[in-house]
Amino acid sequence: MIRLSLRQFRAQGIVAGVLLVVFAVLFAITGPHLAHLYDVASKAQAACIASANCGRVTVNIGHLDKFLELIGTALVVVPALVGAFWGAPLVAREFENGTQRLAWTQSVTRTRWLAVKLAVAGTASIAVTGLLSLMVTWWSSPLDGFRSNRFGIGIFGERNIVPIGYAAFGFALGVVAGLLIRRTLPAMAATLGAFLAVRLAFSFNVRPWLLSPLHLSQALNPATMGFGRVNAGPDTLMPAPPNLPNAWIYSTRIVDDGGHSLTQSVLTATCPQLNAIAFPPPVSSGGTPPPDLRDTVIDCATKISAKYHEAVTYQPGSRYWALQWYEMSIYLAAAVALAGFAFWWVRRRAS
Amino acid sequence: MIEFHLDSRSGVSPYQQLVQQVRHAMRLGLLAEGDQLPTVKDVVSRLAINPNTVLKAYRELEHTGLVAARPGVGTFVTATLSGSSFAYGPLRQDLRRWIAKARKAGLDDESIDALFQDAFRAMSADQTA
Amino acid sequence: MTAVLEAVGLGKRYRRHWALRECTLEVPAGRVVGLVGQNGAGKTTLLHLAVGLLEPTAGHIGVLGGRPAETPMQLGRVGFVAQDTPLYAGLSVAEHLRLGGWMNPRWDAGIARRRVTQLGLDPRQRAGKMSGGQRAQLALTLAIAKRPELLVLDEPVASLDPLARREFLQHLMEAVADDDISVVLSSHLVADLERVCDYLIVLAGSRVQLAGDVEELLACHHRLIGARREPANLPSGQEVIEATHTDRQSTLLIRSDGPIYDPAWTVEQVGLEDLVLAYMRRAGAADPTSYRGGGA
Repeated sequence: MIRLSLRQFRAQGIVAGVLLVVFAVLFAITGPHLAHLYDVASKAQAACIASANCGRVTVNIGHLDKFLELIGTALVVVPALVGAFWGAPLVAREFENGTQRLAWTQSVTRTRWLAVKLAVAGTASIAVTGLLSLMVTWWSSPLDGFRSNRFGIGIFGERNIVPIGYAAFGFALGVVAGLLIRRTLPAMAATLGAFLAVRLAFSFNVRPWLLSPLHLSQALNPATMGFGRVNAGPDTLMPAPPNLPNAWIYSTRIVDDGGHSLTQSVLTATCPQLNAIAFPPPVSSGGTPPPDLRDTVIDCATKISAKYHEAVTYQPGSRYWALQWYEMSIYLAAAVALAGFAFWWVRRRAS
Repeated sequence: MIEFHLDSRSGVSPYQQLVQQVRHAMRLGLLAEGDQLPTVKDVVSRLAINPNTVLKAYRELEHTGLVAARPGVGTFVTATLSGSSFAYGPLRQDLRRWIAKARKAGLDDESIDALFQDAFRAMSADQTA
Repeated sequence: MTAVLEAVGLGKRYRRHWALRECTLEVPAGRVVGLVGQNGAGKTTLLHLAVGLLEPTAGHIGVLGGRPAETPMQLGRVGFVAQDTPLYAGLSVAEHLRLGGWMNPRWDAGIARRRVTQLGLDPRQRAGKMSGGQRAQLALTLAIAKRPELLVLDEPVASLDPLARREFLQHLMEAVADDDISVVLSSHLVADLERVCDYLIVLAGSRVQLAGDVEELLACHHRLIGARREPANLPSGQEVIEATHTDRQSTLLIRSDGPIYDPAWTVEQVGLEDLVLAYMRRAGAADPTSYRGGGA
């Protein structure tokens, strides 16, 4: 049965193997050069902070960032593809062609049949994704070191060990979809859709609450206070990012002693001059207002800081690995549960 | 070695057809004493019929003393039927005379055959009744 | 002789439709059993129950003294060729034989290879590129080379041309002669079964209408032809299966334990096909909805 599964997996395995080798070669060739470019750029940027000539350096780094993001999306896509192309057809194709009526009447029980198929393709899925993650993490480490934004939505799930959980889950999801839907193409589509939905829901709604975030209160610093709006909100005071290296900042709010946020009415009442000024296009938190406005903003911030302080909700950088393990474990557990369901279904219900 | 064939429309059961073909072959001298009949496997793989059918035919032939089965070797003819062909000479002559008479009376071949079959069946029915 | 297939009150229901109902059978070993019935009458359901692809909804089925597909050993004693002979289109003939060896401990590679040579199959040809007849022969080879005690075949020759059909049956009968295997094969054509089967089961309206040794069945069924009259008063021990009348003549198909003595009737033998059709028509008259394979 093992040899049959390997034989059936041969084509997919070859494709994956070739792609991995191609990626490995590409990464190996470009990796050191990339590290060098970042090194030069970050030194230049450190040197130019004081002067106004940072524009070009920032642009160069921006190009590299975009390129890296593109490669990083490989790890978003690969677990989904593994689920759709390796998981869904595993059983669905047999049902579609009726070959389960051949396989289940040899001298092998259904449980063993499914177990071996799952083991072969599942192990391959995890191994391929793990290797790819290793390569991408290594290759992106210059950017990651520079940016120190390991928790970002596009970054956290594409480094280190979490993709392994995604791969296992995507694969198991594909197998169950194939078992229930029994047709390859619809099962692949359903797998992709469900996988995407779960990943999005988890990333936005569950990941922030895996570990209770910490809270930090500090006084407002008028010298570094910014002014702008977030999305479609009103213009308001926006504190500079707190000095928490490598942390995941959930929010930075201006609150009073009772925990109430600074409202627009209080702001207008305390700093009437602020709204009278026509203001250039919005900047997000930390954007420095033009010089003639700075004094107004500093003045306003000083007044506000009488009753208000800064409340930061965040995960410290030291929790990065804990979060990686938790998230991977949850996805793995889901994969195991799905696999268990698959075994039950094959034994009791399918024909 | 003889070769069997099966007429699925003849109304005669398959095993009886096999028996008849063996006896016929023996009468015509195509099967002599000591000759081997085709193995069950050979018959079955040519005709695509149930092996039990062949076994039944061979058993009946054995029962009437015409053949004998030697385990592990095959089934062999142990008697002759053509010996009694000595009695056939006068019978054959009678029959030829009758056919000539029927032709002179104006019967075509089909009618002659039908007349014979009808009389033959009627007599056989009388015998069993 | 032990029964190779035993069913007691066997039934299978899909949602609200009973594909098979109250099926009770005792099929002796060493036979070639023909299973006849219309499409949708439950033949495939019965065969799938026998090889463990389905679980019964009601009743119980035993094969070779055990429950179907219960253990790998039980699986190894039964060979199955499903309808449309499913094979792995991407694997070659040789790979299919290897597959057989990997998945069956009692695999006889010698028989398999000899058979493939005899059939003239190219070992390197992929199953997806073979003709229907070749695929059926390969599927049969796979089933036979695992040395089963029972072979179950679901409409194996339905879509084959006459030559392929004959060659398939030749191959099958040779295997039976060699190993004394029991065979259950289904078909909706009686003509196919007449040559090879010595035991018959007729399924119609999801029920077993007739089951027995072919010779015995042919011996105890007769066609009676005579002047028009109602058949109400036939002696006991005689059961009317089907009666048709014209204004002058009645034709009855009866089942009788003993000979017919009534001189008013002309007694004829019944051919196997007519016998099967009569039982199928009778089932249709008794239960029109289930006969058509649909159900409320």
